[in-house]
Amino acid sequence: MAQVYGADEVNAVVLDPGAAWTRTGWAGEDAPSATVSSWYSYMKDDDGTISRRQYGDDIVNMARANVEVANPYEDGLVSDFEAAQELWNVALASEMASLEDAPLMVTQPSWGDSSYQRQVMEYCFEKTKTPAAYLAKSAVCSLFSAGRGSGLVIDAGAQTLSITPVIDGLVLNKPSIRTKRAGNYLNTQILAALTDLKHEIVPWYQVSKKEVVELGEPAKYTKKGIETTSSYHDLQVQRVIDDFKESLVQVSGVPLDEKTETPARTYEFPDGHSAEFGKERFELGESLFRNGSDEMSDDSENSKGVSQLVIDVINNCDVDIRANLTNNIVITGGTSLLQGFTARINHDLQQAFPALKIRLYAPGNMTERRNASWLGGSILASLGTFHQLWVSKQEWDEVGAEQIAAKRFR
Amino acid sequence: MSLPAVKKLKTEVRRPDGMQRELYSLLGENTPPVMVVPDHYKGKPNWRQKATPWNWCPFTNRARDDSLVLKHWVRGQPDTDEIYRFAKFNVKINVPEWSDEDYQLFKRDEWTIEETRYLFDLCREFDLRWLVIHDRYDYQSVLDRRSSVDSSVEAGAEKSDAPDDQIQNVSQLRTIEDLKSRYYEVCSALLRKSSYLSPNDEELLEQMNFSKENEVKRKAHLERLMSRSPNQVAEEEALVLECRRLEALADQMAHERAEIISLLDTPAATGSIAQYQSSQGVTSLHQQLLAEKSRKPKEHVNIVNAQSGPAFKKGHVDEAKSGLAAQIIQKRLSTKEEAAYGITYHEKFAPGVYLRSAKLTTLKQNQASRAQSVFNELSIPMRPIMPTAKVAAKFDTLLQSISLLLDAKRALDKIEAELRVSKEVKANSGS
Ligand SMILES: Nc1ncnc2c1ncn2[C@@H]1O[C@H](COP(=O)(O)OP(=O)(O)O)[C@@H](O)[C@H]1O
Repeated sequence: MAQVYGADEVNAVVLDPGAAWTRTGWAGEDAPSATVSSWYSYMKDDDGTISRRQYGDDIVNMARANVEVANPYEDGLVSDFEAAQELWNVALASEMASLEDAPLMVTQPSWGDSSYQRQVMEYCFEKTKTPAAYLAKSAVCSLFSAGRGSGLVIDAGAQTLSITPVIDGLVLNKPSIRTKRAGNYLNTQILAALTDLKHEIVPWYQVSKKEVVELGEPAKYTKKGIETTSSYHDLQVQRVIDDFKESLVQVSGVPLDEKTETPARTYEFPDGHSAEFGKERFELGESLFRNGSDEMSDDSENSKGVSQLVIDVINNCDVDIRANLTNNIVITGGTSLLQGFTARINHDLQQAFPALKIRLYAPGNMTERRNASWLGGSILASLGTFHQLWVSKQEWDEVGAEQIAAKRFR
Repeated sequence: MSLPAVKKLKTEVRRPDGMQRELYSLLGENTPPVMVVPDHYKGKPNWRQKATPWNWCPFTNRARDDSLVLKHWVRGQPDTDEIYRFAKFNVKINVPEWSDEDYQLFKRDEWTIEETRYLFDLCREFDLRWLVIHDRYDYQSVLDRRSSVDSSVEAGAEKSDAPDDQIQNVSQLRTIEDLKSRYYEVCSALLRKSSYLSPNDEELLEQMNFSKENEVKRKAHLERLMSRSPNQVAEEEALVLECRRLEALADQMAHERAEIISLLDTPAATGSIAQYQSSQGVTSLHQQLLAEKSRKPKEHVNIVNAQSGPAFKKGHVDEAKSGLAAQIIQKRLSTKEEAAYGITYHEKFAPGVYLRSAKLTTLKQNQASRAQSVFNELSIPMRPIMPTAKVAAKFDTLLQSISLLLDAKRALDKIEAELRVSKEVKANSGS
């Protein structure tokens, strides 16, 4: 077996930090062994210092007075290293002891620069006992998880949506694009739309008892009297919106206009009142794809729809590889699970490149779609030929952080 | 004529008269049939040695510059001297080295020696993957870093500013073709430098003839090809399809023509048919054949047709009809004459050749075995030895009668048996 696949297990550990979820597990397995929410809760002391950070879904979502919640990521990258390191320690809890002789692989967005890489490597060598570590680009990993070495990766995550061409396992940085039109952007749009339609969003934690009411009737529920911080409340509202998004929002197969059919569906809010949404479901999905400016678009990347960006990226690549790219498009990330998302991209690309063959690869399996970059890291870290690329502790000490960050992670 | 089953009836003493064997065997004490169980059991394989253990062993990798020790699973005792088996995949493309003196060979205004070195470093790092080299090519930042260092070290940095600016602008806009042509220019200059060129080198030199214009043109062309509108693409696809269809049609035509020509019984048919490919050619051939036909004596044609008659293909029958043979046939021959000439009339021909014996009636499975015993009794073989038309016809009649008679006999047997059983029952109840 090992001979056939070129695998040589060295018990490496793979860490895939994402803005929504942090995934960890052993290389060579097909799913992460731990998936921890990237949110954490903390308390502020009287003098403003942050204390008692707590991690894990259950704790973060527990309604408590004076407990704030926060997320250490911004634009897909770690913005608060102190919190992120603690988060990673929690996520790596079950592997931490073995890291003494297991190398550690961390995935990172391709736009993380060398100073970012240095900080992540510092975590690996200073906070864990690992003898060797490596930073792999998530786009490359996603591509590997689809069994390809070259292609175009569309990763629709929570904070960012990135479009990355990859050749022979190396990211092409110049044509790569990322945009804020991703999961969180969609959530803002949904919140705005629901507010416009006069739907008050009462998160689950505030509802103690509710009655069944007819469609369109006002809610009848008893409110729980809990004092919480506004950051906690916002997160809980976001969770309701996530639920709304996952069950209702749909992307139309063709650009939306008056003639498009928009079948309605009913949604019951946590407080018990329910309403029908037809056109709105598709309007919201369309907000990811529509070209043109809105309040979010401060720069050109964010003023274009997803399909247009993909088309731009392909056109910015050398003509020689365009056919190869369109033939190997890998779609991953939670937001790509929106109904109709891949079909729409397929449609738009077919329109834009009639002369090229468009082939999308999007795993139908939900966990595989969400974990694609972890899975690719898991594959990479168990390849026999990869073991020469690990940055060893010795090298780190001798060569120095600057040089390694600049030279080793191509 | 007696059947084997009837014979057996007599040997069985205890069976009530007239009861069917199958029914009887379902009654009374029945010992279960003895089942023969072959001994397939092989027993536990007797491995003499123990299973080889897998060990979690440290190893070093020769493809690495340092002495990182990782652990992996090894079957059996670890061999400490063994070279790591994946190290051999660490292959690098050979990018030529050159010294400052060599630089005079390929000096150019647009390129500084530093930038050329920078290019070669990238080529080495990315194994000549031009797309990636072009993607990472950022000489500007190298210059910026250097100038910031320079200016901090020495105050008089302005001196070198003017020429630097020009170079900077150029290096920013370098296209992938610029990089390639520079690389191949340097490589071929290095090759030419050596006084002796092996044939291998000559070939290499030939390959390094990189034409920037051609490459740019090729890419522009490719770009045009890709920016076709959906209508154009559809039209092109339709054209290609049509073209294929025409080609197939032409092929078919040629094939059919060749067939017709080979069927026409002329001396030239074995030769090339090229001269008859055009419609003119076919017309002239037709005339030639007509002329030949009218010259030939009538009896001759008659014989030819009568001999090859049965073997004629479907398409040819019409032609035979219009021929002289058909005229004679139409004159109504007596049955005797027909038999003599071997002429038969068919409603329609089955395509292809078949054996006459294959057309004989086949009996149903259960009848076939019984018919066989009848044949044995009559000492006639199951298949006629010489299936001429007559024999085959007679044989067919015989088969059909046998099957009919067998059916009748079976029905009779059954009724008689039933009658006997009911008679016995009646007699028993009467006494
Ligand atoms: N079924 C779904 N439909 C729509 N959006 C989803 C679905 N599942 C998850 N998401 C969204 O995907 C995002 C998380 O995706 P993920 O790829 O895990 O992000 P990251 O890689 O940035 O951590 C969140 O915004 C979440 O709301």
